[in-house]
Amino acid sequence: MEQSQLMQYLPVLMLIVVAIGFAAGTLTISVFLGQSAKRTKAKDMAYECGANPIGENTPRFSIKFHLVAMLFILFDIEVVFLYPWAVVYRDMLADHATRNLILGSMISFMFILFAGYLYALKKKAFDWKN
Amino acid sequence: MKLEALPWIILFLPLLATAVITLFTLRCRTKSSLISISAVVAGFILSLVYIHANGWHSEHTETSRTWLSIGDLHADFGLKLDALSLMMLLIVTGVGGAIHIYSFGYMHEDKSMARFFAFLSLFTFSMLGIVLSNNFLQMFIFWELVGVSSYLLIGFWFEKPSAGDAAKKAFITNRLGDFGFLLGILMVWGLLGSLNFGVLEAVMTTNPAALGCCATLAGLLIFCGAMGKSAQFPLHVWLADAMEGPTPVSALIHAATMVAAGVYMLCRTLFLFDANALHVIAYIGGFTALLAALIAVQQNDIKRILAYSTLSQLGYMVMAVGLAGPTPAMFHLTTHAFFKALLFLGAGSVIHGLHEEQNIWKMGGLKKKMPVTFWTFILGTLALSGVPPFSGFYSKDSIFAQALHQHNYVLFTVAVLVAALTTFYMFRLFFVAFLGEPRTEQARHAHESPKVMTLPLLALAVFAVIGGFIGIAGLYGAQFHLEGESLTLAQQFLEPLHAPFALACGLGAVIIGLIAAFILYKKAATDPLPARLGWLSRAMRDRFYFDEIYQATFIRAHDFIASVCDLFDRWIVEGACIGLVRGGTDLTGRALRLAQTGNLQTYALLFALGVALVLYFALGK
Amino acid sequence: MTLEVCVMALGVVLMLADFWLPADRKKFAGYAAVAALAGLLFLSFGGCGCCSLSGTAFNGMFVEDGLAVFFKRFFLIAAILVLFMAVEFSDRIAGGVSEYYSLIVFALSGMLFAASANDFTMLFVSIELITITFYILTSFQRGRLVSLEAGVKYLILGALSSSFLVFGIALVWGTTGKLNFNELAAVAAQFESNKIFLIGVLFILVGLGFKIAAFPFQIWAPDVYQGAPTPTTAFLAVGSKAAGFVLLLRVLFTAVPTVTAHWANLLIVISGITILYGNLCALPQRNLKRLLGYSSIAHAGYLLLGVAALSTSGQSALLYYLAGYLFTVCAAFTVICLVTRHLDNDDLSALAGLNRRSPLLAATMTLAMVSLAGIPPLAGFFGKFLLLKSVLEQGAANPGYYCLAFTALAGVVISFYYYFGVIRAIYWSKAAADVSPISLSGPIKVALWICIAGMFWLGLFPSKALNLATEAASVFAK
Repeated sequence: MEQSQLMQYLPVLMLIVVAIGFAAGTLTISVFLGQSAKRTKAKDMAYECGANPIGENTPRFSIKFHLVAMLFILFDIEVVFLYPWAVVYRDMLADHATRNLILGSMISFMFILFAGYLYALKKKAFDWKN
Repeated sequence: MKLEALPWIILFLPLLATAVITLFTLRCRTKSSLISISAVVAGFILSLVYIHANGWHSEHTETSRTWLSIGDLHADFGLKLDALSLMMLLIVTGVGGAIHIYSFGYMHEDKSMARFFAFLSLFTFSMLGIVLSNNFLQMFIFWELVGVSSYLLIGFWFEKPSAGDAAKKAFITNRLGDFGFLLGILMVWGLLGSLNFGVLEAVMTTNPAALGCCATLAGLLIFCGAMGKSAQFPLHVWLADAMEGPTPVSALIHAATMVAAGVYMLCRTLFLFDANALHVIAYIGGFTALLAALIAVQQNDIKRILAYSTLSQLGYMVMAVGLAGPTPAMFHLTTHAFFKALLFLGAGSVIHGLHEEQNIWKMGGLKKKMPVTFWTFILGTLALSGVPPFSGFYSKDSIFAQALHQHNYVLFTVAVLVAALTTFYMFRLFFVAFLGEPRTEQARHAHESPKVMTLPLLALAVFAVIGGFIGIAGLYGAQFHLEGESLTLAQQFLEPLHAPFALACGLGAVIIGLIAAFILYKKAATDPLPARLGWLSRAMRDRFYFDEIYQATFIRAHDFIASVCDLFDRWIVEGACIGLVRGGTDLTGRALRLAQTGNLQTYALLFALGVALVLYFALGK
Repeated sequence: MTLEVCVMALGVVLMLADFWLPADRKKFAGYAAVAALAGLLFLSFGGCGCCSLSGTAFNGMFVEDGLAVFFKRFFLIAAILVLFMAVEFSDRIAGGVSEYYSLIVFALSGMLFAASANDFTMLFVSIELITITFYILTSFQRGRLVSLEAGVKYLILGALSSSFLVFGIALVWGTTGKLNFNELAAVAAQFESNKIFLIGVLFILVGLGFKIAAFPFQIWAPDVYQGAPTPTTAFLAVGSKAAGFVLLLRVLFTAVPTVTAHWANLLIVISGITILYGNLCALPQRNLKRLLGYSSIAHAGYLLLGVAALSTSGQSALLYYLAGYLFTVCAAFTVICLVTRHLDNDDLSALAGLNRRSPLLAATMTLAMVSLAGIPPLAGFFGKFLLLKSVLEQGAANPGYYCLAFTALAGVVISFYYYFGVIRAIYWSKAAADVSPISLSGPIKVALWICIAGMFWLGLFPSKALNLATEAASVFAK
């Protein structure tokens, strides 16, 4: 059983081998086939529309980008839960045993979501200027 | 209040006094001393009340309660109340009380008087504990307490190095004896299974061979305790040095209480000793008596003469015990308590009057200056010398009679010789210190001590005179033989006539000693003896070099062993064993700490390695 | 379930309360939280349904049994004591104080779920709820660099351990198809020789070992304990560790008992090394919180004695020891929290002259150290005694247990050195830099007295608590 289980992974292993082989192969071949170019300072510089780059090459973003991005992901993921809920909603509502559960759980979930939203709002997380 | 409670109260009153003084009244001298004095005097009165109500030989002699119980060991805390302990109770509280009162005058100038009285009460408590104990364990505890409190009292003037040394010497010498005592107690417990005196006595009476082959050894080990406390050869060296304490302490420790504890203990446990042990005890006692008497002949310090005299008399008592005569021993102990306390207090009075002068050759002509001290001192001297009809005569005569009764003529000769020597050195002291002309300025300006000091002298003097024929011997006789008939006063007065030979020898010795002292010292300005005796006199004066011999042998050997142990402890135990373990642990700790680099990457790596380790350990095999 | 819902609601309320409370009143919201939790604790003893002794929820993912009830009360008391501490600490927190309280309460709810977890899903969710909350709690003092550093270290290493945990769960599910502990127990015997399954279980143990800071996953503890705000450290040392232990017990003795029986040696070795590592590293420590961090590793080792014993008496001893540990550690950290109020560092020297500054604090610290060292009559002694006894009982079957008991004793001896070093620092320091008296507020005195009473009660009258612990541990006997 163990043997067969591992056998199922054989295609994956083959894929890995092929991928590594392809990448390594192309790189090796290019060394042999291509002309070796001279390295200059200008060539090693990052290309930025033909102008010389100024300042650090990893510019700092405002923390607000991250904040908003994170909030978006949070609420987005949470909303995803609504889909499976909606799928079983009709059936579960029909069943006597689960009709209170299905609505109650979503209401409490939405309540928590709302509390989080309220918190973010009050903390002025959406206020870009602050 | 129930009568049974009285002894408990008597026992704990002095302890209460100590506690109160130490905790509350250490600043107040008069109050402290009064508390201490009233505790012991109340004890005396209560003892009289108890004896009056219960009689000397009541049916019910024990009161005890269980104190602890470990395995087979059931230790009681109890009191034994027979004639023996009741008499000792009276001596300790009575003579002790007189000394307490006397101290009030003697220590009046001392700035730590309150501390002195606290110690004095603690000492009294410990001594009462020994006297009243009904079992070995309890007695041993109080035995050690006496050691501690005597240490505190002898070293009372601790600013004097000699006092500190003397206190240590007394304590350590006592501990040596106590070690043997403890071994003896353990042996008795191991063999007989009880520590209670009453039970032990019953066992020994029904089966005298209960101790088997160890009987002699057990007896001698127990005797070791008495050897330390009662200062018997070879542990006698501490007693004379202990004179460094204040004079009332000398009177209390060396006359009435501490040194008596050894003899008392021997009498209390006499049933444990077999014939061989008693033989050894008797000869040690006799030897001590002779040795100390010889030393006393050539001492010049008034207190030291009395100290060696005490040693010598203790030798008598121990010898009497060894001769299977507890009655004479206790009799002599009692009379000795009276007249020796009297003599010490008299000496204290002299020292007080002469502003701390202790050399008898710097005294003289005190008869007119200090009449009370003079007259009481001469009574004490006569009693100690054994001049009839003073108390010492009777008790000493009973010891002579006991020696004869046992047909031990060697010890009888020694005893008579010592009696002659006793008379000689006491009258030497008396002639030199009290008679003749004053030899120094201080002696010329001597003054009588205050009433608070002379009154106890008078009280003690009365008992020193009449102590021989007021029924004390009969009391002890009844305790030890149980069939003794009571004698009238006149019968007691003439009791020594029952052993005419002993009487004659004793009287002869006294007369010889008296005449010798009279011839040599009546008019002497300096001591004539060193010229006549030469090296013997020097040896006597230097106490036969016991201290030096001990110093050269035991103490040096002890120091050597101690330094070897010290080296072993310092290098092998402390250095190699503990040091290596400690250092190793410490190093491991420091080394392990290096793993905590604080670097997150390292941590993650170590975490992963840890996972690998766990997997390998769990699945690797 | 009611209890968890109430605690969750309390957390949300505390979080939102921040906006409507005036600034100077905010710190007192902590007392409200304490009161609410104390009420819940009281109700749990009253038996008002929120802590029934049997029942399941979420299709068996969530169980209510003796063990769960024991731990829920434990966590409630821990949270109450930590909240007392947090109020005293509030002036050192730049961010929202109410958030700090609410995060403590959220972490508490995670612990409550952990106490009832009977399913790997529930296990993972509750652990993540606890751990993620602690990431924030650890780095809450945003102004202090060490606090941030501790937070990052905890985050990264915590994520690493969580990845092992979730991977292990996946492997177990992949091989057996079961997530519920009881269902898994029924089939686990078939998979005893399946390496994949065993690796999965081991990975789960790695994740839990990280929570309790057992060797070789203890490496984070000293740094995080030192850097985190003191109430967080206390909660980490008590709550988070206990949550790890309840899950460990459930996994080892409910889910895979047959497998566990083969791993006695593994547990013995881990327990022994953890004890030695913690105690040895604590020896040269001068920083109080770091010292307690190492000490907490050592105590994880002692607690593992009860797991390694593989017996009901071992498990009940573990529970008893945890109870004593709760009061002791809370006492120690409360004192540290109060003493270092105006100081930058938490070195031992901060304790100098404490006996003159505040006798109550000095006495509490001394008692805590004495209890940690395991000296009668305090709680630590009896706990260690029970643990060693349970280990020695197994000695006949496996001599390794004797070695383990000996190692534990050696560890105890070593620990005397540094615990008494703390006491020495209090009473016999040469020069105290600061001799101003420390004034204590009423509530914190209450907290201190609760800790002292707890230490003495468990040490002097162990029978009641021991009965509770035995009752709770009887869950595994069935």
